[in-house]
Amino acid sequence: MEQIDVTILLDQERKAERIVKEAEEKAKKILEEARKEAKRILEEETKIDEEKIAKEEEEKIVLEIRALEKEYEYKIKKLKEEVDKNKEIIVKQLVNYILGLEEVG
Amino acid sequence: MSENILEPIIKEIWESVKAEANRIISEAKKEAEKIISDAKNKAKKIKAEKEIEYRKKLRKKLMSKIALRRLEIKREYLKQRANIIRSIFNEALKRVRKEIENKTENYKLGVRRLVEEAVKQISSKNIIIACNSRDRELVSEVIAEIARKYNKEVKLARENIDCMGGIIAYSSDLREYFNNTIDARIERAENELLPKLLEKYIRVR
Repeated sequence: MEQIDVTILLDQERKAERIVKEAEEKAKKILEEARKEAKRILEEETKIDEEKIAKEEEEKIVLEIRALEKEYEYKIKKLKEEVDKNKEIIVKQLVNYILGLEEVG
Repeated sequence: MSENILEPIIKEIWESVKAEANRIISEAKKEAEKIISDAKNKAKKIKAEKEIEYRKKLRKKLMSKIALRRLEIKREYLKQRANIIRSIFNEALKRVRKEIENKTENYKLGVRRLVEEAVKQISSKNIIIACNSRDRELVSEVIAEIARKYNKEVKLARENIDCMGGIIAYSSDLREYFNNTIDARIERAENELLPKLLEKYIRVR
């Protein structure tokens, strides 16, 4: 029966342990880097561009104001149209009432 | 010779070591990816929340500015609207004045009806009618006929009143009074009739 040289096995085992340890160290480093990157992301990527937002909001307000102006312009236009269409009949009824020619309303 | 026997064992040890090392690294990488992905998602959420909050804050600040402008626009609209409506009423007043100045048949007929309406409204048998100096003759012509029609004593007041036209009637005991001057009717037309006519004929609010 052949004799096994245990020292060779022990040596290989030490090397193996070292490699696993190295892998663990590397993994630790990877995680540390990831945590560092996560911290950077949370610091950097949560910043907002206040100037840009302010500009956008002001533009929205300008649009709202313009829409309101347009809405009232349209109302006035429609009012003028209706008044043009019905002015004569309203005026006649007012005149008739004021003069006492007829009781209207 | 012993090395030959150990070789497969060593090979097996090495394969298992490599696999273990790879597993450790691969798991670490996977966890690292998750940490970064979680951070990105969290950052995105925080950024969105910060943006919403900032917009809200900004909007509140800008609202006072916009509210003032809104009011100005609304005020301008109401002014224009009032002018348009005023133009209808002014046109009616213009025509009324013309009828009065020219003492048209329409005006004469109107005065007659104004007197008649006032006499009907006053229950007293003795009624006095007052008018302006211009309409004195016209009013005196119609009261006799109306007095007969309603079987009442209707007299023209000695004093003239200061008004555009029309009449004021009152009972001789001064208990009843009816203002049917053109001036009073203009006021009633503006306050009572015009809103009704606008509601009937003008739908734009």
